[in-house]
Amino acid sequence: MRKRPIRTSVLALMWMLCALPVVRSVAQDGLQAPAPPSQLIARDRPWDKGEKIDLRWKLSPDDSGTIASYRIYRSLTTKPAEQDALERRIEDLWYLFEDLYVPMFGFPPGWPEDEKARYEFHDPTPEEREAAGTRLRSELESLLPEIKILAKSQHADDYDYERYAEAAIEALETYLAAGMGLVEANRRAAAAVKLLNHEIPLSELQKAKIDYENAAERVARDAVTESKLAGLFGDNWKEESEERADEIPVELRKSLLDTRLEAELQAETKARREIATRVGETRWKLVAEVEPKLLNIRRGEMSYTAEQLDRHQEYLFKVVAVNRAEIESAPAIAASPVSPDRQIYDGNRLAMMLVTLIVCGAVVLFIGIARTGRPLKVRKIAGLSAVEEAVGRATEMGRSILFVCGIQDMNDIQTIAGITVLSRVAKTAAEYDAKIEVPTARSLVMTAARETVQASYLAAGRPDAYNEDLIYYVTDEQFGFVAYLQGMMSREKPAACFYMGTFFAESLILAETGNSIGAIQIAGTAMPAQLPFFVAACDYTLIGEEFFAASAYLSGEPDQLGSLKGQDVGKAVVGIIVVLGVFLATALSVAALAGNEVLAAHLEEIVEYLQRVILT
Amino acid sequence: MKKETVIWTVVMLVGALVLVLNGALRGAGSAYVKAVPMQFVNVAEPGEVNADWIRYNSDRAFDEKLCTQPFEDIPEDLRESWVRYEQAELGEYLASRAADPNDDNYRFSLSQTLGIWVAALFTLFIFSFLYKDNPFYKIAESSVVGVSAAYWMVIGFWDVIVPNLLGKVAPAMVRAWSIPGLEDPPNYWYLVPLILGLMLLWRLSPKGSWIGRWPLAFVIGTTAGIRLIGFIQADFLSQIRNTVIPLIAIDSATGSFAFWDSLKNLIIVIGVLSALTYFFFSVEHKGVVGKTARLGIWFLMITFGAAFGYTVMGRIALFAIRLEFLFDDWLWLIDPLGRRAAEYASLLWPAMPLLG
Amino acid sequence: MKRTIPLLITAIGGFVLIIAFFSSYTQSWGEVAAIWFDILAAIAFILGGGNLMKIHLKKISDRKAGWAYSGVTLIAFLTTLIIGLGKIGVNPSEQFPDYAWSGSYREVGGPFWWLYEFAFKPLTATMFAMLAFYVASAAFRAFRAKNIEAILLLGTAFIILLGRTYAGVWVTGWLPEWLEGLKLENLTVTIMKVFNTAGNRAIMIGIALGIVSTSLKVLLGVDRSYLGGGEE
Repeated sequence: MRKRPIRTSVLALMWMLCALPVVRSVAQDGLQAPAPPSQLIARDRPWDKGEKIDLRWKLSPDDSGTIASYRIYRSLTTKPAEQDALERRIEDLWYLFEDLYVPMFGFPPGWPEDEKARYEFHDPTPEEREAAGTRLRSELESLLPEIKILAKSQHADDYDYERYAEAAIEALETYLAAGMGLVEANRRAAAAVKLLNHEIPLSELQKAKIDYENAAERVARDAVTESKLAGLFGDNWKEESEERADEIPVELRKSLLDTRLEAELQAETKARREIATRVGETRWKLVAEVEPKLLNIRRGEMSYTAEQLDRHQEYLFKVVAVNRAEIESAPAIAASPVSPDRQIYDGNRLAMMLVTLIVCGAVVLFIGIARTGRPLKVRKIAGLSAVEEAVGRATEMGRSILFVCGIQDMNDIQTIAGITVLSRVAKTAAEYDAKIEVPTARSLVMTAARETVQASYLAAGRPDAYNEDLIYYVTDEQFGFVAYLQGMMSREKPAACFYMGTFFAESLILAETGNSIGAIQIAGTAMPAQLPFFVAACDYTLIGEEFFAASAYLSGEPDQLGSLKGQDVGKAVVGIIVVLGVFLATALSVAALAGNEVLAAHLEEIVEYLQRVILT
Repeated sequence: MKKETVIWTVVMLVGALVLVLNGALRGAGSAYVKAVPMQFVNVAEPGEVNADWIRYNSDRAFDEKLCTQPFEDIPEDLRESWVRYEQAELGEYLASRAADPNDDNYRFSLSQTLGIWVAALFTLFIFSFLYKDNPFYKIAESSVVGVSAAYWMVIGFWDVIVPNLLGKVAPAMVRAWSIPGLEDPPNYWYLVPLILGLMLLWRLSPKGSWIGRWPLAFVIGTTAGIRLIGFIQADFLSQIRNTVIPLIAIDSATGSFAFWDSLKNLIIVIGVLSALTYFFFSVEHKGVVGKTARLGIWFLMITFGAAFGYTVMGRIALFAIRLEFLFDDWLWLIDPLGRRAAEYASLLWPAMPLLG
Repeated sequence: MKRTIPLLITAIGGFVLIIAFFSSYTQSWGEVAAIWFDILAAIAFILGGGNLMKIHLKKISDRKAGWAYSGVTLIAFLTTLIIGLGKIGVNPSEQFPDYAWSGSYREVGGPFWWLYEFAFKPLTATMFAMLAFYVASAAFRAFRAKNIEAILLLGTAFIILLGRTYAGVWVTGWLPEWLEGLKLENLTVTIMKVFNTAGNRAIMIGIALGIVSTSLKVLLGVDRSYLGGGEE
C-alpha cells in the first residue's frame, strides 16, 4: 500500500518525460542510436512473497557519459476476468458518450448506417449540452471508485485505469466547456481508450497525441473552413470560434467536425501502424527508467528489481540504452521468460525483524533483570505523582473521580494502555474509598473496564464497594459522547478527571469543561494533534511515551519498571542510528562539495542502503 | 418569579414570535422535494430463474420496445414501482409552478421543513450551554445520546453483522433476504468470531460470566500483536529514516553549499535528539541530561504551539458553517449559493407553500 | 482456569500475528483479525445498548432527578433503532426491486435519513463547532501562565495563527527583502517544517517504543490488569 504514492509520482514523471523525447527526436533526427546493453539476466528474487524479479545487465559500451538512462520493459500479461467486466462497463459508458454526442454534433465518419435511424439531428441548447455533460460525469464518477480499486489490485498495473479515468474526466470537462472542445475531448478520451485496449506504452501515446495535434492544425488551416469562420468571427476567428462555439451554425459545425474527425482518423491509423512496426510482436510495458550512477559505470553493470508482479504469470524482460538525444538502442532481451516465486519467509522484512527483535529483546531482557531483584531506578514523572493527590482530594471533597479511556475501541492500543492505568487509579480509589465513574464510548471498552475495576477493588481488599453501574456505555458517537460528558461534568462536578486513551477534537471540550468546574485534570494520550490542548488546559499531561509508561510507574512492580529501561535502550539505539546516519549523510555532502566523486558515490550507496533497506 | 427569569422569558417569546412570523410570512426554513417515479420492469425470459429488472423508460427498455406500452398495461407481477423524493430548491419549485401550475413533480415537503426547524432548534439548544447548563441543552444532550447510540448500532448491524458475519456463515439466507447480489460461498472460519461473540454475551447470564474474558483476551492479544508490528514499521523506522539528513546541505540547482537548509537540518536533528532525551526514564533530569531534556521540552512546546495555532482557524470555520446553516437554510437571511434567487429578499413574499 | 486460559489466548493470538507478518503466506491474517474484531464489536452492541436501556429505565423507575431526560434518551434511542433495523420507509434497491429488504437503510428521504440529517448531524456538528469558543478560552488561560514553556507554546500558536491569515501578511509586509524569512507567512512555514517536524518525530518514536513495550507486557502476561479478578 505504501508504495502507491511513489508509483503514481513515477508514472506522472514518466508522462512528462515522455513528452520531451518526441519533441527532441524530431529536432535531432540525424543522430545515431547508442550501442545496446548486453547479457540481461532475469531471475526470481529469493525470499519474497512472489512479486519481484531481479534484473542484471552489462552496460552499453557507449556508457561513459553519452547514455542518459536505461529503460526497462516487460511483456504484458493477460487480463483477468474482472477487468474484462469493468472494461465492458467503460465501453458502455463510451457508447453513452456517443449517444449523447451524436444528436448534437452529427455522426462521426464510419458510423453504422442502420444506427443512424435512431437519432434525430438538431442544434443543442446550452441546457441540453450541460444536462448531457452532467449525466456523463455522474456516470463516470459512479464508475471511478471501482476503477481505482482495480487500479490498486495486483494485475492492474498493466491497465492504467486511474490514468484512464483522469483522462476521461478531463475529456468531459472539456466537453462541458464548449461544443468545439468536443473534438479535443473525443481525441483525449480516444487516447485513453487506446491506452486501455491496445496496451500502448505511454511514450507511444504521447507520440500519437502529437500526430493528432498536427492533424488538427492541418484542418484548422483548411482554406474553406478558415474563410467561413473568419466571415463569422473576423480576424480573431481562431480564438473566437473556441469561445463562441454556440454561434457556429449547425451545418458549418458539422462539416468542420467531419473534416477534423477525418484527419484524426488518418492520424490514428498512422500512429497505430507506426506503433505496430516499432513494437513488434511482443507487446511491452515500460517498467522503469534508471540512470546509471558513477559506480555502475565503473563496474560496467547495473541491476534493477521489478516489483508488483503476479506470481501466476511469466514475464519477459528487455533493457534498452537511451542516449542524451533520447534515442533508444537495440534491446538486450532476457534469454527466457521467468515468473516470480513465493517463499515462506518474506526477506523484505528481514531488517525490520532484526529491529523488532532488538527493541523487544531489550524490553524482555530488562524485565528479566528486574525479576532477579536488582534495584532499578527511574526518574519521577510529575503527572503520575499527582494521581494519589487527585484521588485523595476527591475523597476529601466527597466528590467522584471521572475516568475516560478515550473514544476508541479495544482494537486501539491506547485504549488498552488507558485500561491498565484505570486499574491502578481504581485501586487507589478503592483504598481511599472514593467513587470512580467510567463512562465509555464503546461496548467492549465498558466490558473490559468492568473486569479491570472489579479486579482492582478485589486487589484493594474491598470487593463489596465495587459498583458495576458506575461503569457504563454512553454512545459510540464522538460528539454524542462528549455532549453527555460536558453536561454530566457540569452537573456532578467530579473533583478529579482522568483522560487516558485516544482522543480527537473532543479533547479540548473535555479539558475546558473540567477546568471550568475546578477539577484536577490529568491527561495522557499518544495523539500528537491533541496533546497541545491537554497541555494547555490540564494540570498534568502525559506526553506520548509517558502515557504508555504510566501503568508501569503506578504499579511500582519491578518487572514493569524493567520494561521502562528496555524502552530507554530502544531510544539509545535510535540516537545512535540517527547520529551515525547523519554523520554519513553529512560526509556525503562534504565529499560532493569537495569534488571527490568516487568517495561520494560509495557513501551514497551506503546511505541509500541504510535508508532503503535497513530503515524500511 | 425572579426578575432575570421574566426578562429571559420575554426575550425568548419575542424571539419565537419573530421566528414564527419569518417562517409564516416568508416561508423561511421550508423545504422542497422533487418526486421521481421509479418504475421497473422484469425483462427476464419466461422460465428463467433470475429476474432481470430494468428501469422503465431507460435506454434498454427503449431497445426492448417496452416503452411502447403504458406502464400500467404490463402484467402486475412483472412490474414494480414507487416514488423517490429528491431534495430540491425553492427556485426549481417556483420555476416548475410558473411553467405549469398543475405540475406537481416539485412539492413542498412538510417532513423536511419540520426537519430543518428541528435541526435549527437543536443547534441553538447545544449553543445555549455556552451561557450555562439548562433544560434545552439537556434535551439536546439526551436526544443526541439516544439517536447516535442507535445510529451506530444500526450501522453495525447492516454494515458488519449482515454482510461480514451472516453473509459468510449463511449466505443463502442473506441472499434471499437483503443482499440478493451476494455471490460468496459460505466461509465457516467466521464461526470463530460468532462463537467469541456469543461468549461475550454470556456475561449477561448470572453464572460463569468469566467466560466473557476469553473473547476480550483474544481482542487484546491480537491488538497488541498487530500494533506492535504496525508501529515499528510505520512510525519507528520511517521517523528515523527521515531524520537521516546531512547537516551540510547542497543546493540541488547550483550544487553549492546551502546555508539555510543546513541550519534547518541541524535544528531538526538537535530537536529530535533533545526531545528524545526528555523521554528517558532511567536518568534523572540533572546536569547535561537535564539541560538537554529542557531543550527537548522547548521543542515539544513549540510543536504543540504550532499544532494549536494551526487548528484555530479550522475550528472557527466549523462555527461559521453552523451559522451559515442557521442564516441560510433556516432563516433565509443570506443566500451565498444563490439557491432561492430573488424571492428570498422580499419580506412580502406570500407564504405560498403554507397556504397551498 | 479463569485467568490462565485468557492469558494463553492473549499470548497465542498476539505472537501468531507477529510471526504471520514476516511470512509471505500469512501476511493477510492481520486483516482477517481486524474483520473479526469488527464483528465482535458489533455483537457487543447488545451489551452496550442493553446497559443504556437499563440505566435509563432505572432512572425513570426511581424518579431520580432529571428522569424525564432519560425518557427523552430512551425514546430517541428506540425510535432510531426500530426505524433503522426495520428499514422502515425504505424502498427496495434499483437492482432488485422485488426484494423488499434490499434497499439501503440510509436512503435519502427515508425516516432514518431524516434522523441522521436533522438530528444526528446538527447536534454533533454543533458540538464540534463549540470548539471555536473553547479554543479561545484555552488560549486566554495559557496567557496567564508565566513560565517559559507556556510562553513558547502560546507565542508559536500566535505566530502560526497570524501567519495563516491576511493579518500576518499585513503585519510584516514592510520587512525588506533580505529579512524575507522573518515575514510571518514564511516563519509559519519554517516552524511547521522544522520545529514541528522535529518535535513530532521524537514524539512518534517515543510512542512506537511505548506501544512495543505495552504490547509485550500484555502478551507476556506481565501486565494482566485487564483480565479481572478471581482465582488464578
